[in-house]
Amino acid sequence: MFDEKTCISVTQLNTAIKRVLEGNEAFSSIFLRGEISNFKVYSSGHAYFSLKDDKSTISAVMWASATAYLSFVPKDGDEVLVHGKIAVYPPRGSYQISVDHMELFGKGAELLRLQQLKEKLAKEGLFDADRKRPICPFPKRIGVIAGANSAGLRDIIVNIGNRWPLVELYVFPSLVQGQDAPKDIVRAIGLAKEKSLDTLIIGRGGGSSEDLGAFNDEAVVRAAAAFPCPVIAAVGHEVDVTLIDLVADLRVSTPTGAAVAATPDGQEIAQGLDDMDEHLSYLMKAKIEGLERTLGLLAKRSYFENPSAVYDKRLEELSQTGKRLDLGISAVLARNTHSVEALQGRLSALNPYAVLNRGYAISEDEQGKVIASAKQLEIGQTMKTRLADGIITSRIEKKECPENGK
Amino acid sequence: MANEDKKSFEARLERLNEIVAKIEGEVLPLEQSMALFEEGKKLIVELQEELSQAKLKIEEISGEKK
Repeated sequence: MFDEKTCISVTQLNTAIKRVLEGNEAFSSIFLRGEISNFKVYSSGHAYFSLKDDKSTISAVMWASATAYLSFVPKDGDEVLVHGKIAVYPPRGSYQISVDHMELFGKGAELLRLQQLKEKLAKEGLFDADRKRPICPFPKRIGVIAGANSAGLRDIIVNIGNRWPLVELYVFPSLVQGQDAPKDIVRAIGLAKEKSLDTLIIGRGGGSSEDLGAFNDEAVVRAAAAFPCPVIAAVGHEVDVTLIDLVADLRVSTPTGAAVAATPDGQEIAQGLDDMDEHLSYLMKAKIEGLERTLGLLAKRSYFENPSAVYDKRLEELSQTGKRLDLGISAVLARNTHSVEALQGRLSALNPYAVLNRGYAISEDEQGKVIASAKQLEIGQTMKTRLADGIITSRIEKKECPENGK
Repeated sequence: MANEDKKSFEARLERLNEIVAKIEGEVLPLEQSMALFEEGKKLIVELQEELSQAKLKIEEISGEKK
């Protein structure tokens, strides 16, 4: 029945069991609820205890690396929720749960659920930095979701009114705590979506700082993430960051902070306008003064200081030119006079009257026509004869024509 | 500006900054600078008045009509 060759050692068995248990995915991430007993922390920081319910017990270990993050001091009898994995310790042949996270049940369960939701949404990229939109610097329409008549809502309204009254404020009162709060906030976000807002503030407006549950609700967080304009979350507390803080485009810790983040500072802008007013006047004055200075410099130029200098020089030039003109003209005239005399001499040589000087005469009839033929004249007619020094008039008494005449 | 849609506060503030920058540029002829100056002054008065006279408009929407 026994075969020495097929039998294995205890170590081999425990090691094989370890491999099976630790290799099983179902045991590698376990959420377990139980009551603490025999809790003991060693100087190393490691904690050893048991978790039990009314029928069973399992040993548990929590290494120093995990106990360092405990948010409470565990003690026997505490109802807790832990996360961990199964680990086998071969030397003892025992298995235990190795705990990496432990919370008090109740609050702990909620925190673990929250942790899981947070991881899920983070994986979807809902908290990514590149999803964050810048807040509108000069909003015209701001929406506020907050507890009706809450101090926080009043803070937001008063501060926005003081800072930037040029805005239309839409208030969407909502429940902010209790079981019905998530649904009511989602409803308010839906109403806000219908107004084309520039900025939406989701605040809490007082209430218990313990109950931030609504702002960790998945539906609320998703509605805020999908909102068409930038969202400012003013839920918080410095310590407890809610999921809506993570998903919002901007997170502030007080209602006043929300008002400041959502609006420009009107007083600062009014001051800026005053400064600009002054600056503008200064610029214009400087410009005109500059021009005046340029004008002054121009006026000092010799042209304007001693205007006659400009034309004195011209006059001088002009008189020089005039003199040259006179000289020129007289030279031209002298030359021309000379020519005229010469021409006259030549002309007179051609003058028919000049012939008269040599004893010739020109005869004309009564009409002044030069008589070139005896035929032009009749007996009794008068004719004029031009001599060198005078004209005589004579009457024809006789006319003789040679044979070739008629 | 009677029937003309008024530009937003932000747009006018931007215009004002533009005007100041232009006048600071110093290359403009006097006439143009004067025109810009007048426009700037007008904008300042306008914006200051709007800012000082504005009153927050609040509307409460509970959506409780079913």
